Amino acid sequence: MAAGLLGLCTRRLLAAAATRGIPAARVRWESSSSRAVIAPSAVVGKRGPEPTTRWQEDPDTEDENLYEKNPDSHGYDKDPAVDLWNMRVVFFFGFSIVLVLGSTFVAYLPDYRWSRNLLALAVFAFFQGASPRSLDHLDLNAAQIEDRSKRAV
Amino acid sequence: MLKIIIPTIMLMPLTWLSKKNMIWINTTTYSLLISLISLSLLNQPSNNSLNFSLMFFSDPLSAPLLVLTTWLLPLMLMASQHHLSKEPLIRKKLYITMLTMLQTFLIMTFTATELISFYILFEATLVPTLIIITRWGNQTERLNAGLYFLFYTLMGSLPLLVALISIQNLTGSLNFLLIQYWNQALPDSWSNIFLWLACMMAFMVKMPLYGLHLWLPKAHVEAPIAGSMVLAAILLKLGGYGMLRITTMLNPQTSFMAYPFLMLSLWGMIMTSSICLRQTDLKSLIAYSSVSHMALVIVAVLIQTPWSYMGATALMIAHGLTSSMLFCLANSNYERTHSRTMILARGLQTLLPLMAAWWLLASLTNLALPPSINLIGELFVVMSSFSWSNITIILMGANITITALYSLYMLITTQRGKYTHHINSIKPSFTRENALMALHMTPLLLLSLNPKIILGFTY
Repeated sequence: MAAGLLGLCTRRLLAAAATRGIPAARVRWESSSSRAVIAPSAVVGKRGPEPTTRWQEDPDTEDENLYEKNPDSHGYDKDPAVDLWNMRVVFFFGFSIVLVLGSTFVAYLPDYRWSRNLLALAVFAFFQGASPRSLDHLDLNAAQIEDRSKRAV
Repeated sequence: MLKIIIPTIMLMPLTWLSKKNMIWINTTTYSLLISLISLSLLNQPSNNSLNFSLMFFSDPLSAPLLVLTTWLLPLMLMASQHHLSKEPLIRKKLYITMLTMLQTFLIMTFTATELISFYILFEATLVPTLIIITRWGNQTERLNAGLYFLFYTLMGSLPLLVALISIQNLTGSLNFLLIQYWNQALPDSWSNIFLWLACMMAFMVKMPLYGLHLWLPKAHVEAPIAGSMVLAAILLKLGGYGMLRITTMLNPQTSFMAYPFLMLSLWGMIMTSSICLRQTDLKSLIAYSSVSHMALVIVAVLIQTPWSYMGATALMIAHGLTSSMLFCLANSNYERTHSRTMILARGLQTLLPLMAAWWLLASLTNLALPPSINLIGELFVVMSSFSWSNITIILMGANITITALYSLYMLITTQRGKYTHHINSIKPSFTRENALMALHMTPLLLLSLNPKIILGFTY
């Protein structure tokens, strides 16, 4: 079995030698128990490297390093002044105006479900006979949002 | 609505009349201001719609999608500035014009009251997208990608045109505002079954449904960054929006016709998530991830319960922001290495640590980490599908696990480990790129604090 395994190793070593051109062994060795032999590879010299397959989807580009001419580049434009103003515009309008003012607007949107519930209660009370003046003294806590867990999913 | 549409249309003369060094500044500024105006639409006082005119309206479903659309234009402009820097001025202006035209059509599509108008604008969005993919894509495969994109969508939507004309003849009106009060059940017949199929297939192709999804990886991968962003963030949601609108007219056929598509979606989400684990191309991984997430939306829309509709709407907004951010991150890699192969740009955390933070956040939202709105959407969909049929929890659970697997696989492959020798001279991150990621992530995180505005009309 050992000889068989050795034969297997021999084949692998020789395969490695054939593909990489490296000598699998420095000296010749013959097994005493089987006919397995390991010998230096007959391949002289390293096998030439295979041609590299194209690994870039977009080769031959001429990349311009924006940091070379302008170490403070923000990545918008080659011209440092335009680059700076573009960055300022994006930060001012994007963050300070839209995100800040927009999220404030959205945060302060009224809770329409609550107000609709309150209105429904007031209308119900009115039709039950309550006077219109009772609308001035509504119990604001009575407009509970319904327990959604009881609704069908 | 004209307060949004007319400024968007006017971005085109702004582009053509701006000076050479001001085109990006002007367009970015004004598109950010347009997105500020569109936030006013989130003020939805009732479950009914805000009717601006006979032609345009907005309701709690279309308002978040509209805000997402208007928010995305400045982000697309920022993302495109680098790869267009070497193009001649006319081509830069043409590119911005295409983006603006697409934006206009999308705004009008989401706010159209009439279904034929919706259809025409739905088809019109194909034209600028096709031009962007085929003209500004980087590889020769972009032509094939454009063909797949165009003809898949057209094949799906031509029956929709026939169906809409037939419904118009039958009912006299295709106005959304009237249809919600027209509660007639469709009689059970073969022709109504084909009507159902005709109405739904266009949106199934657009979502896309697994089985009809072959156009998506091609189109997303071959498109330039703005094309990928708008495709993933908005155009897929057109399909979801259309399905949510048209299913109101298609009862009771939906209750039995939906089964094959539910099965396809449930199985497809597992398949496409698994495909993501085997991808070498980064953009292709993100594209297949979009198919998987949209399969959840399809399941939610076809189940037709209040929670599933909430989940579908939340998931569309969340996925729009997350997927667009992932494409921007992939593009930042591509601009440096000019390759989309993931393992060629690995170990980036050592070289670009701040970008690694954005990668981490994007991957975590992609795998629906609590308390992001991605989780809210997915959870609502999973819960409603469990209520519909208990067995779906197995597939949903498997999908959530595999989504986590491939998101972390993408993160670890690109960020962790030793960087390769050919990328140790890449340029540091630009402010532009960090601002772009922040402008994606900040709304996403802010929405986690107040998700009710994106939960649609069943909230």
